Amino acid sequence: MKKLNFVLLIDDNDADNEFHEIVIQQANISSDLKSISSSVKALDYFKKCLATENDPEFPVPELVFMDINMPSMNGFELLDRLKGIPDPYHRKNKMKIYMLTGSLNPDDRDRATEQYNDLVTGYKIKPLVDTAFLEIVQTHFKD
Amino acid sequence: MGFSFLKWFKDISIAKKLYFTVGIMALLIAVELVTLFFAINTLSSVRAFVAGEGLWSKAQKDAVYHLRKYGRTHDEKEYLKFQEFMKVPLGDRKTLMELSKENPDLEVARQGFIEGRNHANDVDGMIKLFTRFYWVSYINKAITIWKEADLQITPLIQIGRQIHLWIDADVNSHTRIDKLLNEVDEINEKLTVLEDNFSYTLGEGSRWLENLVLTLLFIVALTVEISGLILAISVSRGIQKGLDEMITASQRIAQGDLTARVQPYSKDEIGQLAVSFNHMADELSHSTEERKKVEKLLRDYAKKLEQSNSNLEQFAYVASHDLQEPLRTITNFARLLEEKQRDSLDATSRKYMNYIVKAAGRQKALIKDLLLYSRIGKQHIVEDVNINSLLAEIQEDMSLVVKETNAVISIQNLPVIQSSKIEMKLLLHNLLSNAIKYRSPEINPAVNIQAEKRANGGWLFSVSDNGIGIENEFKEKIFIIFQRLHNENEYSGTGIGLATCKKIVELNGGTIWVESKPLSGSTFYFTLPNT
Repeated sequence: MKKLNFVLLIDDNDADNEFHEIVIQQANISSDLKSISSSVKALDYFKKCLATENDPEFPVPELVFMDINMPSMNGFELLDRLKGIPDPYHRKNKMKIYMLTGSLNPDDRDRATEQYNDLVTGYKIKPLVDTAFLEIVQTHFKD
Repeated sequence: MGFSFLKWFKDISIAKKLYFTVGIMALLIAVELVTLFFAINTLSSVRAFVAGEGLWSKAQKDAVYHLRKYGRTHDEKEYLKFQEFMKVPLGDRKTLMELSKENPDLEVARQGFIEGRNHANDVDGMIKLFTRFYWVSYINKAITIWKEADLQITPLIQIGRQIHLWIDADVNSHTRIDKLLNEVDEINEKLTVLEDNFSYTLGEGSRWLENLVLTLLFIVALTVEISGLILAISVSRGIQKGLDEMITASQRIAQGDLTARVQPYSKDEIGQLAVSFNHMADELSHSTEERKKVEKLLRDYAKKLEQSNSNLEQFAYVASHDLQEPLRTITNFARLLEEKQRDSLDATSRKYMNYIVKAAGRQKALIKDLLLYSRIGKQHIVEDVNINSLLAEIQEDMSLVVKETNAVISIQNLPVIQSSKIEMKLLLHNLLSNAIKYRSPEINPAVNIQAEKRANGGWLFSVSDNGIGIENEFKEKIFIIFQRLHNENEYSGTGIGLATCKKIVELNGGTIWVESKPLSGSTFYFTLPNT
């Protein structure tokens, strides 16, 4: 199985972030892992990592897990902003974005997989467990 | 006749009906007046004729009297008087002759009658009676008698002339004069009979005419009355019938029978009214049907809402008890575990334990706030609420936070309003605790609460702080339930507080909004209407 270089978690809930970090670390697939606890900070990160070709401080994630219900800017609003960020090195398409949410509302799933299907690769309900994570990696990151 | 008068009359407008009725009456009265005028004229002419006959007879008798006296006295004056009196029948004769012609000269005829000593004013009437009513048997007969009498006038004059000749010649001729006078007597007697007949005939004629005129007048008067009565009755009956129909129908409609309709009997205003009435009834029954449909929909909807509300209440009940129960278990035993293993737990485990306790606590708060939110309006008991004392209570409840944060709360002239005390307390508590919670890290919170009377009689409240403020783009979002601007670890909260405030204000008929600049404080305004 291919190893991932960098997985990014975006969630306002610190406990959830910590839990997911542990799950991903235990899978021992990604060499780097980072969690961001607000959508505003996440937007800032995207701006920085897309603007430069190769900044070791702001690497481009291969896999992103994004929460939907976040204060001040929810996941969909973050995706809208992300669309507007200039992408001179064409790296937006290389990121696989998964919505990872506690929302059981089917409207949110439809919205993510239909309206935002250009950016969103999949939709998962919290918590992310190891089997689900491995399945995602196997599906999208073959050698 | 191609068209029926009755149908035509039924369908013309009421105004025309009235005009028509009045017109007919006026026409008939005019006919009556003309008849009356004509009758009076004719009768007056007959009277003049009778008077003329009287003059004729008197003159003839006087002439005979003076002729006889002349025969006895041989006095020339008497003969002149005879001649003078004879001028009357001679004048009348002139008229008789003229009027008997095919194209009579009316001026000559007038002259004749005036010579016959008739009054000038009567003459025209007499001539008209003669010419116009010649065909009437009485007039005809009277004229025939007159003509017959007139035939005796010439011999009378001839006799007078003969006697005058003899007396002038002074011939002693007593016997001859006497003989002639005897002839005069004979003529005189004949004339007396004719004069009587003339008067009698004209009298008959005038009585006949009187009867005729009276009958005519009576018939015309009767026609006026009857036609007036018939027209008035038919018009008023038409109106009455139409109105009765409409009264009955509108009473039925008033009693809820929307199928009631009016039979239009005519095309006049009443008929048009009936048609409009039916139209109105159609519309009414149509809109009533629509309304009933809508009402049914509303009832169904209300029923569903009631159902869903009671489900929600049920849910709230479950939430308050059943959802909290496992939560309590989690909290309690996490605490116990933490206490028991205090020494053996490493930092990571303690952190995890802390996550558990905090998450359970947050869940509890969420459930409590959600319950409060869903119950707003349930116990909306309106009473006098003194906002000053209400805020004193709130400050009492919050005294710990106020003390911890060194908050300064200033309250200015707050009114007593009519509202629900529970709701007002929740509203002001939320706003005040937000004002302290979202404070700037560097300065002590200062909150100012005031109210001012508005022009419409309601109140405008404001709660202003010196806190962190709100970005413009979030000024509406903050009032939506579960919408938060901060992470839980920055400012804890459930995202329900301002949604609760909005629900309370709007339930009370007011509006709520915020004015703010980031980093320089916010002012929350809400209005309450005049109650």
